[in-house]
Amino acid sequence: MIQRDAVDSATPPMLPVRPSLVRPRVLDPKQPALWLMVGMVAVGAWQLGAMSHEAIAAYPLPALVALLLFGVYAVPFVLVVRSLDYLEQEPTILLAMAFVWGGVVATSQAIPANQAVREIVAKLVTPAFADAWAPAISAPAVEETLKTLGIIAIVLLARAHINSALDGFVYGAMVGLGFQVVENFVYAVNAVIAADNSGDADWFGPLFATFLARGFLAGLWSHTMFSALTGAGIGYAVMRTERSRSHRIGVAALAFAGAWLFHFVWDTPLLMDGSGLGTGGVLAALVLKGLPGLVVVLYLASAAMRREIAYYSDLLTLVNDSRLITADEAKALVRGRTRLAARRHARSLGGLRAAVAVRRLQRTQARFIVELSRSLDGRDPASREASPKETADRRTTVLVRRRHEVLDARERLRALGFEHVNAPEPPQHSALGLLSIVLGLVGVFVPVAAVAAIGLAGAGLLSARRRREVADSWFTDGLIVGSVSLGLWLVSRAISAWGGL
Amino acid sequence: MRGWRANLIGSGVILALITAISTGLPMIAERLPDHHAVTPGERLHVTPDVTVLPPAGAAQDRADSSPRRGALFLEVRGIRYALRGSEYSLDLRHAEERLRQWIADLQGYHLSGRTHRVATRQGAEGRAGRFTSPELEGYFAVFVHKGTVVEVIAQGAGLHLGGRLELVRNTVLTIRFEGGS
Repeated sequence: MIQRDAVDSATPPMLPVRPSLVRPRVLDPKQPALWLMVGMVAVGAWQLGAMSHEAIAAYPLPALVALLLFGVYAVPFVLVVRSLDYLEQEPTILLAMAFVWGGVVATSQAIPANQAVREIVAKLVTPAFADAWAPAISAPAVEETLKTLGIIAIVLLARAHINSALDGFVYGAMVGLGFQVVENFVYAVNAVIAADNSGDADWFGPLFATFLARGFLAGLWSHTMFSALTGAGIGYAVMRTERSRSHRIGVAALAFAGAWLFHFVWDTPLLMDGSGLGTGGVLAALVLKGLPGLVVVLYLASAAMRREIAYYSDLLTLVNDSRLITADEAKALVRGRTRLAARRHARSLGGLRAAVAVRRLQRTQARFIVELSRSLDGRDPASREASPKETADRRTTVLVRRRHEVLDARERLRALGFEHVNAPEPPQHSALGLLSIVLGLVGVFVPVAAVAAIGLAGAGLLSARRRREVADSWFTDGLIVGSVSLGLWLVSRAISAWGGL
Repeated sequence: MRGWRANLIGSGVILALITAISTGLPMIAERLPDHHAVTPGERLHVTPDVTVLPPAGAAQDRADSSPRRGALFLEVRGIRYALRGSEYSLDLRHAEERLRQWIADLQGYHLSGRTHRVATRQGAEGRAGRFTSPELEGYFAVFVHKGTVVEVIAQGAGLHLGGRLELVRNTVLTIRFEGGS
């Protein structure tokens, strides 16, 4: 049970997160922004159709395969983005609209604009200069602006759903992902057409080479990352109303400038010849150009998450009812890694059903805590027209419902023999764990190091498993970094085999 | 009501910015002149590995020329040159057939006479010929060198008059495959 006194007297711990008082309406037909969105999507879809229908009609099977490949490719991105947003999840319809804006509106408008910028640069300088530099000049300016307008449209559409910089990050990432998927699809079909025009009857080779190159070599540090950065800035500007307007606009502008800069660096022709070092040189150039942006964006996402975690952790201390959430469960709930560790732990003790029951309990607890946070925040941008009593009644009803959901999930877990969810304490980081990460990073340049990183990390994880202990998370990181490095090498080799790199 | 108005204004600003980007930039591009005079003696790229020396007084169509796409468009004394380069696994005979077929498929265009052997000053072997359309006369040539096919089409009214055809032929001879022998 919630300690009523504590709740009533509590001041929200800090305000990096400002949940709406009640769950706001997602789409309001009275809002002009909704009709702007609908109209722009219709126009964009028509324009894309007009631009691509002949190519799709001429190459239906390659187009279908490209669509499937990049559609499947988007799934892990969506899952990662959703996991960032676990506690206060954004409505699916808004995420879908963000994706569609990026994929349909931004791409359809960017194509003629990019062509125009290329033409302007060619006319003002030379065609050769335009070939080399127009993408770096036009893409960051045109595409980042169009995607940013999509994030702003989402803010206009559902302002009450932007409750933290992380929410902005999530919407930005979805706009960018939509753009990335459609752009990659266009590149893949163009590669097939170019191969056909060159007398190459094989369409799968060029299509798959494009998939590998754009999906894997360039996929991590592409539109999803750029727009997530801009989105975080916009989320900050929308949410931190206690700051001056100029400060908030400045932060949003800085985030946009960062996205622009990372996009520009990525698109510059500099270093793209591999500096005479062959495939290793090209890979090193790709990493050198893409990795800094990814590191900055991941750091900012992590900072935004830490703030959100701190907010909800403080809030969870107000709940003093072990039927709803225990201290250990609260600790496990706020971080993705510990949530997963708790599920794995339950699975090791009670099988898949126990893991599913823990997952359900965590989901209901997250919903409950978000509802609780709404009841603590006095601001309610979504229900200005509702009277305080109506708002309070609605709030109480929802909170009671959420509480019942938690208790129900708790009963299911109890039926499997679990009283509480326990997340084992993570161990101290080890020097070997660090070594596996370093080797993984070196693996970008020397593939043997990537293999060594995978071997070392795998041994560390297996050893902990044999001892029935929780492994050092740095081994997991080392395994991921080593696998990515090795994957980059394998992908570049595969592309070379198809003559693409 | 205030919120609705702000929403309307915000939506209008977004729409205006999108319109400015997607139609404003093409309008600016359209207003800039396409053709720029070529510096005398300057070799221009057909592809990153193929260059040509344009005749004196030539102007380059910068809007459509692109070494990356293997396209160079020139205009001099009323003659329009289109040079295209691409990596293509064809021998000279097939490359010639392909170009002849492409010209023959154009409405109103007819190939005239037989093709003949031609070689650039660099020594690259090619084939050349003539064609006509109701209003224009044309000259074409095709070269295959180290896996790169270069096609040249030059056309204009009165091509055979005033030494224009000789100008075209001389220009074609300056095509150079960089890095090749």
